[in-house]
Amino acid sequence: MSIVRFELQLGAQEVGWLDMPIEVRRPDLRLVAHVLCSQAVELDPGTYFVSTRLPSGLELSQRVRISKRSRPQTVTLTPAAAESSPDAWQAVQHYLGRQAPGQRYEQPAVLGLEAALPQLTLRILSGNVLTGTLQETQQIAQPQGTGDGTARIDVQASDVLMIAQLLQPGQPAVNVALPVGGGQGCSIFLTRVSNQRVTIDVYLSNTEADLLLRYRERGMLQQAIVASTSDSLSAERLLLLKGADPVAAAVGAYTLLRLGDLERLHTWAQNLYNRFEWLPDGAAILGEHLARAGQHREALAALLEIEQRGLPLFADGLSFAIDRLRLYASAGERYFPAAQRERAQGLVAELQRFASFVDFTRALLTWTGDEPASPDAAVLAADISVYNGLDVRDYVG
Amino acid sequence: MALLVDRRTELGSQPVLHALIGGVSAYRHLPNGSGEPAAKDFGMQQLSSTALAAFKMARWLLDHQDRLPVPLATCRLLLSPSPAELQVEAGLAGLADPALLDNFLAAADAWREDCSTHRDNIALFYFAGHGVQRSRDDAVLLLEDFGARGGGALRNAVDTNTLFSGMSPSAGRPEMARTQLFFVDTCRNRPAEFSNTELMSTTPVFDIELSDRDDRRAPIFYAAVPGSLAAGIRGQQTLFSLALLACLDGAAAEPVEEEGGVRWHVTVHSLSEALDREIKELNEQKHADQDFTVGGQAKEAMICVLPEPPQVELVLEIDPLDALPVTHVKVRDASLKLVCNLKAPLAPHPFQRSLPAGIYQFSAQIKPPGDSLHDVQLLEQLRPSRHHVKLKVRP
Repeated sequence: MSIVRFELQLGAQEVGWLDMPIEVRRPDLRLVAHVLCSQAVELDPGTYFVSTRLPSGLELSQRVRISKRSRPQTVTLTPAAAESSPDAWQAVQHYLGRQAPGQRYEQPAVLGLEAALPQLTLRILSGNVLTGTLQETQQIAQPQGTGDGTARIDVQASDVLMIAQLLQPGQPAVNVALPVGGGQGCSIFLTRVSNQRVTIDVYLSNTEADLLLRYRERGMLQQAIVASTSDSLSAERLLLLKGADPVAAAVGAYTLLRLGDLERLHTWAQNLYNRFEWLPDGAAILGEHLARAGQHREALAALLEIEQRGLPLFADGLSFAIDRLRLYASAGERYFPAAQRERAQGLVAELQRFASFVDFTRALLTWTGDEPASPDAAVLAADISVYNGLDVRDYVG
Repeated sequence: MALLVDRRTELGSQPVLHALIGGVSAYRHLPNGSGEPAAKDFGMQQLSSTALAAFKMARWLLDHQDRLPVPLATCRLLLSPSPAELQVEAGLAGLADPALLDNFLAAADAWREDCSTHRDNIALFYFAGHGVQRSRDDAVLLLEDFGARGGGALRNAVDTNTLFSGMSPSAGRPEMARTQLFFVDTCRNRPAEFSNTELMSTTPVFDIELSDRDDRRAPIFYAAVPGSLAAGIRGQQTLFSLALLACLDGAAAEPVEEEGGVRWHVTVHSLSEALDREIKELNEQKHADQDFTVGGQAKEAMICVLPEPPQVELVLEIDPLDALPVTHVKVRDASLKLVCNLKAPLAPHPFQRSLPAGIYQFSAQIKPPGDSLHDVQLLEQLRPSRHHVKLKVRP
């Protein structure tokens, strides 16, 4: 037996410590271990195929030979130069991002662009869209980007709910709930995907949680299961210790709910709900967890908290809340008093206003409408100078 | 008529699979339908590939019963095919009852009764037709008689929320199947065109009975296409069903150790990952914009087992192109046995070949050696159904 450790070299500090799921297989593809990069494995003499798959689709692999006299060794997984991130600031998007259908950036030269983007404005708003306290904030960090099709804007941590809004002519305004809070910020990436269109994607500053989110977004559920076992995503670390990260805890909890791992959720949902009253997702998660446990009265009470807490940051939260509330609103008197069912019905109607314009293929809540509290699919006019916000056209290019 | 297969008596009380499959292309009350036009059609048109997609799903189940984890006991099929589909597949005529509301409710009720006889049963639901997405996990499914006069706009529509919730284990159905697979293959009409009242007013599939502890493995694979037109191949099948059946035929297979050897299984998790891949490929081939999401409770479960390793279509490319005349390629399998010896220049380029899924070593050798080109060795696990390998011989 020989001890084998793993090391991931992605060439950028931001993603350098990612605790990636690693597969160790025999040449005949028998799975020997599916562990985290931080974990060592003991291997019998033989040949093994070690690999990891990133949410971007990139696969890194190495062949390892273990002899009877092998000393402990470290397997380094690193991308070929041509597959590496072009810049350190783009590494998160490069390795964790996903091209949605129809989204493929083409170099301006390939497109034969006769002009730069006409206009492109980014706004950051803070407050609760459900209680009508939304207002524009002037605090937007200096974007990074050299006009080659991608720009990055970092958003600092905040204790209030925040939304990024992207405005471009001829497209509906796109709103994305920002995963900030509990001392953690996030990064907004703007990517030009065609002559006239730029997309917005947001990454959590907790890259482990972001990895989990991206795996789920791409349907890579086996990888998500392994990634969710990382020490850095344990309920204790995310919820109880100093420097708690409730947004990452919400990502972990949604993953466990989606994968049906109710045992691991245990007190996770209750702690998230109790300790972070500002986080709407705490109510959605606890509500769904209790409902799965058959505790429907308690579930409804938790879900009704969304009236005050606001829209969940994640599409899963909105989806869980709408589906459960709709069911409870239609349930008979033997389950809930009429007053509670009426409240449930009112909240479903309010949430459905948003859901009708939500892109449910995105993990973070993403909806359209230039007035975020009044969602619609209206296309913006050719001139968007009436809107305040930061002109980011030159950074994207 | 709704029962395409019924082996309940023969199979007795052992765990079995019960399927409910519906497909609607011909809508009576939408434009060019056979009935009185709907008062509000929400801009929807007739479809041309969804009933056939449902039929192909049923056909796949019947033809691959030996690959299922438990025997197929029943398959209930409701179809409302379009004239174009009937021309393509004459077998559709008279095969199944039409997917009208009453037929759907009766079939769903009987399906649930069958599924609730054993907790190790497997329930399978597939619907293709017009739909309205209300949330990630909830879609309104429009049946053939959608738009009939009288009642609310969505009277002849059902929703997956009450369907999913009604299939949960409860005091009345403690032995409900704990493995349930839902496939919702609908175009995604914008709910914005419907009022909130309309969205609340579908016909419930079941009376609401809240669950006990819900420990199901119950993923919902939900096709998502922006806009109101189904992404399908006219008179053939939907892109989602094309991808799904390719996955079940092997594109989603993954190696699993079983009895000391390796067998190839399609599981909930492998299907989820492979659907993403297959749909992306189809989007490129058909210039489509299909997407999908996984909702419900996506706990791992086996869906089917393959009799042999799936084949992978290898696409091998040399980069840059001007290195083609001097790049020789050797491909070895996991035991380092030579499986391809390709002399320069690789022709045709890109080179394509079908190989069994597995781990392969690719060696590109530059002969005669050049200043700016170098030999390359690459190790790749070839995954179904298509795998691109690019050998970059210039640093």
